[in-house]
Amino acid sequence: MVKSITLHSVIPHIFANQTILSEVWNQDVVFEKGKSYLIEASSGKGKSSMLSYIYAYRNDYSGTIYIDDTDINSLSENDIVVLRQRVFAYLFQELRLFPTLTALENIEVKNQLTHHKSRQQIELLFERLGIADKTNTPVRLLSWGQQQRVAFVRTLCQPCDFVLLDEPISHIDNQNAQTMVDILTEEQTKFGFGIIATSIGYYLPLNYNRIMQL
Amino acid sequence: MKLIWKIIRQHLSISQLISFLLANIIGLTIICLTLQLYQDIKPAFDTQSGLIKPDYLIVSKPVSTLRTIIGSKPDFSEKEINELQSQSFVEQIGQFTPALYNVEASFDASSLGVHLATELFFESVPDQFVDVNSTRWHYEAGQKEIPIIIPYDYLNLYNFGFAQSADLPTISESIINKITFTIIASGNGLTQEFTGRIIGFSNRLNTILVPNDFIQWSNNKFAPHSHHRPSRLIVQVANPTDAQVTQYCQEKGYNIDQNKLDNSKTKWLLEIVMSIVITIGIIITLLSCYILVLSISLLIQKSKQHLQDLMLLGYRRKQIAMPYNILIITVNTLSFISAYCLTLIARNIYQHHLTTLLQISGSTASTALIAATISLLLSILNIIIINHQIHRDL
Repeated sequence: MVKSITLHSVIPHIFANQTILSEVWNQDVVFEKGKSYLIEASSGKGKSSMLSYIYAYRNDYSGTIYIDDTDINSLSENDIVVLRQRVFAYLFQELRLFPTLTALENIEVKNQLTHHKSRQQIELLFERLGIADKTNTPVRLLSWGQQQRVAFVRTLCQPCDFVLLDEPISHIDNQNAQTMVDILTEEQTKFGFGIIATSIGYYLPLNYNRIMQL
Repeated sequence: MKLIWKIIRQHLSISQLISFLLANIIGLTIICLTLQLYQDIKPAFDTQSGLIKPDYLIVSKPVSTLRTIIGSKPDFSEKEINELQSQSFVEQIGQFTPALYNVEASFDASSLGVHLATELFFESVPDQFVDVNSTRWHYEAGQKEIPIIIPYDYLNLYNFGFAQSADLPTISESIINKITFTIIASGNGLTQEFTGRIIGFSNRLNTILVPNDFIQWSNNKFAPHSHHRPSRLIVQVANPTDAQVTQYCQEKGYNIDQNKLDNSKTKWLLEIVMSIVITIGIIITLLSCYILVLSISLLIQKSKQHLQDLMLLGYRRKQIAMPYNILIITVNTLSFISAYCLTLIARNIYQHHLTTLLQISGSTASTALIAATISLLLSILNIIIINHQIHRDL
């Protein structure tokens, strides 16, 4: 179980020679399990980069990221697989859904790895998010907003210590955004995970413990 | 697994897979069919019993009327033997040594109403020319039982000639191996009884063969003062198809068992042709294997983004590689089964035509085993290459 993520003087290589005023880059930042964080920034400041560094699929940065006390760059391939199956749940900005699969199959791709949610729980989430009628529709036929909700359900289909949400409601209306907040809050109360969300200005209306400017 | 397959299947090129299957089936069928054909017709060229090692020739001198009149024996002098020994094509020479005393054999089975008795002669060649287990082909001085190899023709002569006319039971090879008969050797004022046991048959040596140790020991005992010169030589040659062999023997006026030589030549040519055809089969099979690797490589390239997404969702590389591995094993198994079936069909056809010429008795099991091994090796090779690519690209 991971209790904290620490960013120690982390800065993307691309910003290495620039003077940057940021509450995250080149700072010491600790994200604690059970708390919610919002990273705000305009486009191009490295929001997705930061989450991908934490998720260990990019390492074009200097500084160190610790998962508890372990340097993330020292993890083995197997450790990273465990990280992605048990520690971090990630809602990608680009969603990374499989267009030929139906909405439900996209969820199953994740859930059959983790067996975290029952079919009934998944269908209930679809219903609450207003996409129950899209269960068996190939996702390529869904709007971006609908796809974003499918990807959100998939994110919840795994046990985790932190949920990483990269601009999660960029194409979602207020009502559905509130439903997502309700679901996230329920799940957070139940499982006690931390939340790190990014926003370009239009953000998920959660009770954040800390809001940082990137 | 099912879902991963659904994700990657969209990029699967059926035409490429069919190309692989066709090429692989053709290649494997050529290999299987050639091996099967070789196995089926090989016995027609293997006229020796297997007891006498192949690549040996029996060299003798012709018996002419003149020799008969002047009483000259068709034997080899030491000089002639040495000269033959010094030829480049000769690897080793062995002499036929006859028993120089009287030998009588009798077989008495009153219950079958059979009583046979005859005068016999024994000969021996050095043991290294006889391809029989040394524990069976062995004689120690004074031992009562003598192992014997007789020509097939003798058995045929008895079964199809003598037994028919004298209303005696026919004897199979397996039965004769169990029968012992009495042998009485006499000479030098001594007589001794032995037990003979036929341990095998030979088509190549037209003589009754006993271990060299027995002949040496018995000649010393029953004919200590007799001497002989060999009339036949057994010669091991490096290559029985070598033209020098025929040429030398013709020059010297020696007889060689030409039939066996021709057989060896035909068999050698057959082997060359078969090797060429098998090589072509192997090349086609390897090329087809290359098509499969290219096809799956392309499939991986086209699905690369989705495969990376799967890894980001927490899939392991080996889980991602699994559908590709199953695909490889499936198509290779399919082509093995098709090639084997085609071989059996083709065998049925040629068998029908060849049975008039020769007896086809080969089994198809070894061909199936070889084809299955090739398919397995190709699958393993494909899997290694594809897994390496997945490891490198993802």
